[in-house]
Amino acid sequence: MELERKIYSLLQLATSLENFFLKNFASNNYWVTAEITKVSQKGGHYYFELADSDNGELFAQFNAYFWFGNHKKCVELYGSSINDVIQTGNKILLLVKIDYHKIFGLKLNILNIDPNYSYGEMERQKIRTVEQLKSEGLYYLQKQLTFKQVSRKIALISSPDTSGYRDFMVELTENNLYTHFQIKLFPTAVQGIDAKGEIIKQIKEAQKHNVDAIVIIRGGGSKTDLNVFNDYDLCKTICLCRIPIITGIGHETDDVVAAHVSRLDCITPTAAAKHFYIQISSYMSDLRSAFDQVLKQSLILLQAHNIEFYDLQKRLGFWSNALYQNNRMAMDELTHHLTRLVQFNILNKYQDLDILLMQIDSTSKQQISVNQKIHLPALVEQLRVSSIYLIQEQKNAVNQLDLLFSKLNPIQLLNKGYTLTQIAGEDINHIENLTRGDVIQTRTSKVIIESKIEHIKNI
Amino acid sequence: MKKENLSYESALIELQEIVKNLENREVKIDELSQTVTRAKQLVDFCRDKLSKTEDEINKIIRPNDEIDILDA
Repeated sequence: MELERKIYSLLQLATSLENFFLKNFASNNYWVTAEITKVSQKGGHYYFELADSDNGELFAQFNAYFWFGNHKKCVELYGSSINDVIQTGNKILLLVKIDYHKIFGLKLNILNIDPNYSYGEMERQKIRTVEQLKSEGLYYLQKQLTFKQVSRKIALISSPDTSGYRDFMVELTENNLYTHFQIKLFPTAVQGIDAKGEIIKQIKEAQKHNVDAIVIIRGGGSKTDLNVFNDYDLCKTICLCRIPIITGIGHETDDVVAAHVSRLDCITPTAAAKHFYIQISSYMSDLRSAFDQVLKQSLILLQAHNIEFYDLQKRLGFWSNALYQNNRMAMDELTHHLTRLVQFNILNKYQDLDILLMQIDSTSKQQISVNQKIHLPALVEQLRVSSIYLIQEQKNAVNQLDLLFSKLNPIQLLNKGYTLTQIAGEDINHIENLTRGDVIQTRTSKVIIESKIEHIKNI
Repeated sequence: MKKENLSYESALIELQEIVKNLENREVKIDELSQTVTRAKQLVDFCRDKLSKTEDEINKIIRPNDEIDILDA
């Protein structure tokens, strides 16, 4: 069986809800804790997004408004510091009335905010950060780092538009002691939602550069403004940084964990700047003092040495003279001895030379005698014999020619009865064709006969 | 023989030439006596020259003669 359908208009439903809330919640106010996830201001009114979450997990969420009148009452009650508490990310304790509106829906109407709760919450966060860092052994890591004797290269993590930055720079560059610093700025927001992430990123970035120290500067601000410096992640990054970090955050009365865990906490940006030039100035002063000391000691030493030297000089003069006198006698004796030795040696050399000369003379004469008595006569004899032999050879040649001539002598042959016959001066035996009538000339030992050929007979 | 500027060498060459001509019978009948006479003269000249030269050598170099250089 189908139930009978009862239909309401949206207005009826909303009116019914409105009545319900009025009846049950209108007379009661509630103290509630929540985290501000978003806040905006318009016409003196504040509009919030509130949430209850843990480690990013959302458990409850409400929109809320803080009317101008209620806000004004709060300021009167707690002072303007209430505005510091009304910041995104802060945990607050607020007195609310549950309000339902037919058009705008369910919202929380904030009647009052107790800032003391927020401050307490910040303190608790600070304590948690400190305890966690200590339990992890990170808290004192920076304290173990040592500063260079002179820190000139500075990485400055700050927001360049802030008074803290200006204070630091003016103090560092316009003091009378030392100003030749090399400053590399790593700009970052120092408050707001982005501050934490940016500061962590710039601390890590600064470590990549060759710097002597990292300075984190933040001018004065409210507790909630400075609360980012109590953040666990940011403080842990400072602890793990290998370069000494100097902080100058807020004013004298401000106290943040970042300042405690850094290598050196200066109470203000100006104090941080002072630290650098005073350190250098002190080092220079030490150097000057050491130099003066060295100079003074040197002078004292010099004087002492001068006296000693003068004394030594006198003693040296005396003993040198004594030694000289002693040695001079010995030297004279030695000189005399040496002279005698040299003379003796020269004499010996003369004698040696005489002997050598005699030897040369004797050997030369012996050589000449040998040549004279043996070699030369032999040569002369050889010359004579060779000449005579040559002449004898020539004699033999002439004799032989003479003998030949004797045999061939035609006069002797004619005398023996032979004749010599020629035709026109040529020997008849040499003429091959003799003819009748040729005139022949015949020579005997006594006459020459001319005759004609009458008859030729071969034999 | 009339005086002439004759050397031993040229005399010997001339004598060898005459002997060679006689061997070949190339001496004319008319010049025969003159050639023979010349040959005889040349033989005598050569002998005389050699004899004189030998004497001169023997004069200059006496056999087993001692020459004292140091005393010279």
